Amino acid sequence: MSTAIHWWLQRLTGALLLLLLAGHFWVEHFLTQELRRGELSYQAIAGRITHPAWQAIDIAFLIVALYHGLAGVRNIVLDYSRVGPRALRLLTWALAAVGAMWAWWGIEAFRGL
Amino acid sequence: MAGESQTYEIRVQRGGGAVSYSVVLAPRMTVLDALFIVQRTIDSTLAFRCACRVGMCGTCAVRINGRPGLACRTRPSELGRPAMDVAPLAHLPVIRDLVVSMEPFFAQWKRARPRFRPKQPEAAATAAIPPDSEFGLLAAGKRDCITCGVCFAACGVRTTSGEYLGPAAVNRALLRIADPRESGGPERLAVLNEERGGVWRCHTTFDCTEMCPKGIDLTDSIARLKRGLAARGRL
Amino acid sequence: MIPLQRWTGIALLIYLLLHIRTIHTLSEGPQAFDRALAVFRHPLFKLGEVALLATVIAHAANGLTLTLFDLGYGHRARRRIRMVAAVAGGALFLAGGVPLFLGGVMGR
Repeated sequence: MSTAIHWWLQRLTGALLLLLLAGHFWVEHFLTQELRRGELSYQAIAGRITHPAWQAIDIAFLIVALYHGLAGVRNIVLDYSRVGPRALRLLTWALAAVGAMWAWWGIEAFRGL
Repeated sequence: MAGESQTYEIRVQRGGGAVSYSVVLAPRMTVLDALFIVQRTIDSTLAFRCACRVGMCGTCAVRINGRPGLACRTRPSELGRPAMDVAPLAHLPVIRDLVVSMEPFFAQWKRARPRFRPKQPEAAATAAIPPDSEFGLLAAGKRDCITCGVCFAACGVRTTSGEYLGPAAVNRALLRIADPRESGGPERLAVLNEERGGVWRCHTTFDCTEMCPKGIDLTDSIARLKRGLAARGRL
Repeated sequence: MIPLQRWTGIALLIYLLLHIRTIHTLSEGPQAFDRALAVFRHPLFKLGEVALLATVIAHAANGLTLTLFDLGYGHRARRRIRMVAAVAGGALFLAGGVPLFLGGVMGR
């Protein structure tokens, strides 16, 4: 993959995350009185998370966040030239595997709701 | 500026530790003057580099109070303190005292293909660039690089990456790429586009721009190339 | 500047990975989820939430200003822009963090 796209995607996902996170924070902490008191429970969020539209947003959020974070780690490693090209390639695959695994766990959370 | 001479403590990083010297300086004297006073009257073994003494050659770059800069262009009277720390430039191997090897800096400089390659090498007439043309205006702000190495020493990425080109090399590459009389763009762009050492390592912290003794907006040069590379369909 | 983005980024990634594992308990049913959440009712975790907010805001504010500069804007006014980002970030932190602190840690 070309190097320029990593730069683009990191900034694009960053900007997206800003909106998604702001929304997420609002919804989870301020939407209802219950949540404002910090009383998070299944019951408090059941109405929302069974809704397919909210699920779609959450899954999109999940993927965008995982990409940004894991790509960020890769960027950090690129800053350290002591890590050779082979090790870097290995790391990239490892990060992709972590991303896939965690994305799966996140998506699975909605199964059966 | 007051005309009174003042005594300064100059702590020079030599080998493993700092050595303190006391020098009397007139207000307009520079760090380079102070180093000469030390070498001529106190300790002749002090090693440092200089040439033009007027900020044109870039030879006397050192670290003053932790910040890289030209010794001949820094006045202790303007530093606001009676003591100062002088150390060799960061990110470069120390040869002795304040003398560093510029080898890593110039190795990156050469990687960016700094030499001018004319599109028409056989042309007899000189192609003039009007100062108010697009390239003329851009070049005015980018061509003053004296390869002093200050930006290289200031760069936070160079602290951990031995592969990053560094601001000076990238800036010179931009100057060449943007020049309408020049060929050699593609090879430079390939080097600039490298993931491990190209423009993508820059984290836009402006450390280089802050320290450049010639006032070049180096971050701008690097950012222009990032945008240029990103837009040329190399996605 | 570089270490700030780096450290907040790593911290946020670690949090994200743990967070997703917690949310994953939803697939084991409402009781499992509530049991997982019960752990986080402790005031220490609530304080952690406030720290998380600070970390996110620091990373986002810095990232936004860097993106702005990369796009070519505000190079000359960079000190002012950084100041605005810091102040805006601080204000957002107070706006979100104070209620979080009062609601979660103080239980009001």
